[in-house]
Amino acid sequence: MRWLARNWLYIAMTLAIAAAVHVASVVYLPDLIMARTMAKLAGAGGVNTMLHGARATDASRAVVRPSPDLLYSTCVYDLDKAGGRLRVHADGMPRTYWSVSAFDAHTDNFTVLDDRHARGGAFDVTLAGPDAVAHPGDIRSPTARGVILVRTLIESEARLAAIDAARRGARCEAAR
Amino acid sequence: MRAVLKLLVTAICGIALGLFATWVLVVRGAPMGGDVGDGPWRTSLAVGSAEGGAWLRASVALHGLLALNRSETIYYTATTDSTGGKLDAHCLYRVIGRDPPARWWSITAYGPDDFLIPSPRHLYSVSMTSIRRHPDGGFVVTLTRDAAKADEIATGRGTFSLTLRLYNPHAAVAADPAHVTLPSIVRAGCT
Repeated sequence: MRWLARNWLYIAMTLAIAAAVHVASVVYLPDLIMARTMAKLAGAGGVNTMLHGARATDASRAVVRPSPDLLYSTCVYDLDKAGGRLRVHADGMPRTYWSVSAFDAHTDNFTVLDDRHARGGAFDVTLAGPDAVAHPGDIRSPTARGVILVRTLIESEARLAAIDAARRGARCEAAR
Repeated sequence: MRAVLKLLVTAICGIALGLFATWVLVVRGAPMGGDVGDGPWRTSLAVGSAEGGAWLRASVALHGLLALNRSETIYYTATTDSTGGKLDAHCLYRVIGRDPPARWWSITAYGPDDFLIPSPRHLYSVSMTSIRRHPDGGFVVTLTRDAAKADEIATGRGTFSLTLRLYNPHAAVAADPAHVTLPSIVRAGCT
């Protein structure tokens, strides 16, 4: 008890520092993980380019808990490098479930559309940076950097090659 | 000098304690868990959105990065069987149920590292389009470390977890995620 009475201030400071470090690490962990994942996904392809990944297996290490029933295409975007606006589009997505989703640098999924919203397998959306001049219909990205993820369902193994070929038409590029 | 040393020890202990709390509560926490339970399955409707707060966002970043929000997909995760026993590859399990209320669904097993479990035949998951149903519409999936045929999922060598993905879930799922009819996970024996 005498030890506690002598050191209560240090104990209180220890607990206060612990609480601050815990909260700070929890708050910044998603940003750190997202930054690391974006670097990994961009790989040699760079930013503002759609990369069409191979089907996930037990050797896949890019993103945790991948689905082996989906094909993933990713575009790590940097709206500053794209001049403020980025166009994501495809004309002939396969006849199966697919979705196009965008994640900001804090990991939040701020927009998603899927094949139910599309006609003839086409989609065409434009992201605008937080400070960019947006055009009508643009989707505002909360952060300048983030990830666009296109998921395409492998509806049947027999159609895998056709589905894979069709989803490779998805593109992302600086909007003009 | 003694006071400076005490302050230094205080700072080191505080930082270590704070990081340890993060390790226990977030890093080692249940993969993609959530605040809603439905049998052995857990979910959160705030996955993928900013609504869930910092702790859920950190947990999802670690265990389910790039998860979609509830308007598109709802994820249920199981780390236990239906009696509460931890999922363990030394045991064999049967996942018994019917199609969950969604446009498309899948059940996938993951190792403790949150990646797919090695399987020579790539038996990582079953889905609405791959599962074989009984005449009454029900299905049985076998979880076994030596998965070798259809409707079996490989479970590896240690603990594992399952993710049930509901793509374009029916409105009733988001309305009451704790009372959706989901498959049960029954332990069938251990070695």
